[in-house]
Amino acid sequence: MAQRFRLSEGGLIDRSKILPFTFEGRSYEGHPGDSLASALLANGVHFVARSFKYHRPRGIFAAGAEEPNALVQLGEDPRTEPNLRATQIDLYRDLVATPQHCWPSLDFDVGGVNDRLARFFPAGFYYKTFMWPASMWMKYEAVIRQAAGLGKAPSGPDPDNYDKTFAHTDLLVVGGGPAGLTAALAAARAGARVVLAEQEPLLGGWLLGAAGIEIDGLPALDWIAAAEAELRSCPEVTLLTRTQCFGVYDHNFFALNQRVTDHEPPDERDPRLPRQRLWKLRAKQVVFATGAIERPLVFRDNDRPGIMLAGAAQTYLRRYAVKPGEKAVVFTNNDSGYGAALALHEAGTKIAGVIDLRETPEGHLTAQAQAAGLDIFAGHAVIATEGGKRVSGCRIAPLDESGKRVFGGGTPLDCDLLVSSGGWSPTVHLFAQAKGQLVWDEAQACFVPGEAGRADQRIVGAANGAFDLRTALAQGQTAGLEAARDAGFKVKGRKKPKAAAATGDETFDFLPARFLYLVPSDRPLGQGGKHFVDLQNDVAASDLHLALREGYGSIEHVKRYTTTGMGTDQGKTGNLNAIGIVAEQLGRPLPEVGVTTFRLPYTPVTFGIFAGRDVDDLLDPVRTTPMQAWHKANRAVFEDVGQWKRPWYFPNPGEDMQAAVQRECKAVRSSLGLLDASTLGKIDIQGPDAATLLNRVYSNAWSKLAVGRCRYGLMLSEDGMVMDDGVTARLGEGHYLMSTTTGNAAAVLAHLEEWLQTEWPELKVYLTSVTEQWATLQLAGPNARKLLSRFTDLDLSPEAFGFMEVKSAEVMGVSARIFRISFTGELSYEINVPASYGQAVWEAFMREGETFGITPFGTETMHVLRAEKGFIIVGQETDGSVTPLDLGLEGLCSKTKDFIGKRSLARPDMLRSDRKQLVGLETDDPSEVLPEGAQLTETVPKTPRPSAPVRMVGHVTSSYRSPTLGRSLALALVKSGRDRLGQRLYAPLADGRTLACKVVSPLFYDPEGEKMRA
Amino acid sequence: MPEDYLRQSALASLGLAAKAVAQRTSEQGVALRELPPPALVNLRLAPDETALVEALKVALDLELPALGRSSQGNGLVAYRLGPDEWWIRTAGSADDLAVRMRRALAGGHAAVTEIGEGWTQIEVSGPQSRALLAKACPLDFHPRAFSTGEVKQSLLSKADAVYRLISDEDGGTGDRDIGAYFEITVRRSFADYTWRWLADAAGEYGLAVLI
Repeated sequence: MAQRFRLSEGGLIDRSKILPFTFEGRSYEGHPGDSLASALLANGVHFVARSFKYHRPRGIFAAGAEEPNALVQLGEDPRTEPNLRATQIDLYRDLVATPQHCWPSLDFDVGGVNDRLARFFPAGFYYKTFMWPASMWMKYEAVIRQAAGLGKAPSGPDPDNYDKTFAHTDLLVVGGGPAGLTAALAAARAGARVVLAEQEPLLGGWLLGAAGIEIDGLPALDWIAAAEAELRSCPEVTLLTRTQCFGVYDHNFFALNQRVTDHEPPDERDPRLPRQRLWKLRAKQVVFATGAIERPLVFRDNDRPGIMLAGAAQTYLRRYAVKPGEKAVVFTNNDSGYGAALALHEAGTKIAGVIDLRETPEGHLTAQAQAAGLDIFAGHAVIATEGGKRVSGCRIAPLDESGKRVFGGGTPLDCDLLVSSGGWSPTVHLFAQAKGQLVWDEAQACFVPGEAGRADQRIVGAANGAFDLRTALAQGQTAGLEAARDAGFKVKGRKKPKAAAATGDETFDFLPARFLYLVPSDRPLGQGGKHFVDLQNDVAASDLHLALREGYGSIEHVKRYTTTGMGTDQGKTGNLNAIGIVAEQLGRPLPEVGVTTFRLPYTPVTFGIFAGRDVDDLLDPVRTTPMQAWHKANRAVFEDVGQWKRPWYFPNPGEDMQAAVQRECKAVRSSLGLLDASTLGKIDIQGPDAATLLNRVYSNAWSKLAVGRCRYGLMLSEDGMVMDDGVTARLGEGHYLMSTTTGNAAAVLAHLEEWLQTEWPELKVYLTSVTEQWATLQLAGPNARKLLSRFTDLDLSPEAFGFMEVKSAEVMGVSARIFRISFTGELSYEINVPASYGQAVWEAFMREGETFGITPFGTETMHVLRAEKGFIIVGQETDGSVTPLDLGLEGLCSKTKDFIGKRSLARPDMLRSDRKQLVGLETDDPSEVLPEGAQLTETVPKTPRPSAPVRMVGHVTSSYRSPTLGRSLALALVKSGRDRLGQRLYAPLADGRTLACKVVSPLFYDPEGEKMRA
Repeated sequence: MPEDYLRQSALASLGLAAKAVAQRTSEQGVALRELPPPALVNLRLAPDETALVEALKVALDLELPALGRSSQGNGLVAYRLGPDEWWIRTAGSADDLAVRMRRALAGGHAAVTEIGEGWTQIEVSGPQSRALLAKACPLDFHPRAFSTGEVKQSLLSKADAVYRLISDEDGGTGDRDIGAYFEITVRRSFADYTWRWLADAAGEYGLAVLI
């Protein structure tokens, strides 16, 4: 029968709609409003997982974020995600989920043998067994991974979209239970911006599973509905359900994960919406209303399917109208366990007995249970359980006064459900992440918040140790009002508004209680069964004892050695029991043992939300020049230079890179080429002290540069190393234009601004970046003048417009700046036109230049041509450890003025004669091209791959095939290089060959510079 | 400048005209529009040079705005970008504006530089414009935190951007159904990335492309 355990009435589900779904290939049905866990339970499915280490059958244990057992793989490859808690998966039509940690199936799992071999898998098993030899660890790891089976990663790219957003608010309320709702309402009524984040699809928190509660005269559910309606009506309130606040960072910065469409069938999700969204939220004030998490009792074999938390059973009954069993044993140490007993009783589940550790059970719910005539076994304990894939019974026995022993071998009780309650722990995770202090509350046996990490962070309700509803509501209201006030809002009225009034038996806290962290059994600990403390990591009380015996005294060490409190649930249900057991064994007070650090994320978060939409072609900005469209249309192959796309070469159809580059090089040397140089950095420098600034930041002298002239400058860092280079032009009196390398444009501007603002504020100079104001077209080749003369009236004769000069002129009627400078060694003009005209002028040059066979060329050809001239490229010939002296550019280091890096150049190490110096290399075989990065030696190694170190004297920095020279050429940094001219060096290659080469001057082409000055 | 037809927008390759509609519909929460190429002049000037500030004010008949603000009048919009940095945008020629400014500042220490060619302006409007910008930028765009005429520099995803609230039609009521007009200024080379990023982010709200 479908949904055999669904109650005929009640619950917050929509019975009018049936949602079919499958789990491990079997078909089931549920209703809207169900979680996967509640739907499985409605169908009588408790056994949903195998445990991590022993592969023991495990069931649904909780009803919320704290679930340690019921982890499933949701969806089908590639739209699939592992390790999701069935308790937090909203059921949708045709949902597909599969269990994890088992092979080949849940029912028959090969790994189950681990359980029978459990005594061979003690705590620290992996450390002890797989430590040696260290080199084998990678192999061990693969085997362990396979055996562990932590779900499966998708095989293909994630088909879903994710998003992220920043957000700001006056008040963030985490948790939409009664305390959170009153806090949000109080602040919203004062007009504050409020973000309320609730991890569940519904507001209300634990009230959704409570009965008989009235708030302000309304039944609890109606009160929640009214509160939600009011909040939704406030324009300044953002209600985020299905949203987990998973991390707290400095300065009230919070990370929230909103599950936007996860609750809908994949084929019904709005494709425009992200599946999940990351909220990066900054709040002025914060109220944590995160509630509390119930602790289980730690008794022997407390892990079988059908054993769950008492509060969870109550939630399944009341919120989901699901009966989790036909015959139940309720095991409790406090009054709240009776809530589950009453709910079960009311739903028709037979109560085999309420086993109460307390000698004298009392409390509001206890009294009701007594009145209802339930069988209560006071001063008793569950000492063992039976059953394989579902609990089938337990044994109970009276407990002695100390709580350390039981009398007798116990009385059997049949049951198919065993719920336990060991008290409640405030959910202080986020509060503690924010550096809030925790203090031990002896009466309630839990850590409760002490001083908050910040004055603008408050914590209320059960999360604050206020387990009774009236106090929780009052705290919520006060915190909301104070937060609004502290955020600058006027709170109306002199008198504090009255807190919401609540009535009902479940409004009280869970006391009195008798706290035992380890429930004794009739046999010694670890014999005949296990007392599980951490269900997810299969850590038993005996493992904790073992760790202590082996000398681990600190709770942090015990955690790491036994793995208690690790994993996807981070020990939400087990941690306090673990601490209690350790404290007891050490004979120290529990608060002295202390807690382990609370770390984010509160619950696991999928990577997708951190990427958001910054994927594929939005991964990183792509910067393009004004001529990009032309480059693309003309088959340019692009090179990434920083974020810029620069044409690398322009292959003709059928051409490879080498052929294209050779052709482009020949065109420039023989006639005319056109290069897009727009990406070079341009800094406009104005002010009477501009020349002083240049003198200080460049190593060479600038005082005598005439207006209309250009000069090459070398910029050093404070350590004397070459940082950047480029040509700077003097445009006018107190007006210069500096050019920088493409990749360093922003860094150089920042460098100059830093010196101006922090060291030389007295200098009257302003810097303005104009990199993108101009499109830069570089005409290079002997016919450059002829082509340019067709576009401008400017007198281009060498006498009127000499090398290293700049002029303003109209080109095609567009105001342009023309620089006669050359990086190729040919006659060359760099024409700067306003960016929006770049493509039009480029196209005109290409059209008109056909006469000269004008050839667009890319960065590779530029690199070859400049290497023929021995011009360096910063970042290629230099690597942050190369000085001007190393490059043979001492002529550019002024002796008469000071400049950044000058003092460093006088350090003894800089003057060593055996530093690496820039030289040229020519291979003996002119057709061989040395690989860039190749190391150079003085002798031929005896074997192709010598085992003994061979002294290396330098390395190749640039290497090309030069069509101009008809041979290969290379630039290299070689120890005492300039003294080695003519000497033979060797480059042993990775492929076993050794190339011989000769050290030459780095100036290969037109050493006199006649061509570029022509 | 000659022949305007020779000019090309940084967004030309996106073919926006073909996607454009006359007006945003009510199903579309956001509209994007490429604004005309800005005729922008950058001004570096120390605010304590009161004589120069005054001279410029007289010459342009425009108050230089305070930090984080803009001002407008006479076909000019002034943006305050930093303690000693402004942009002045003109509806006319940037050349002419620069000449006027240099004349007013003659003899003093200031830098007047034409920069409009290097920037692209995009208008974001519609009821979801604030939500859209929140995805891109860590600034708070709420009407209480970002008022009409305010200018802020920050990021737009991974690009630098200058934000200005042109008008806030909700009149500070916080009613997000009415909408606001933001002007975003990004470097020309980032314009294509910026537009594609915003269009993608606006997908869930419904995007109208306007011209």
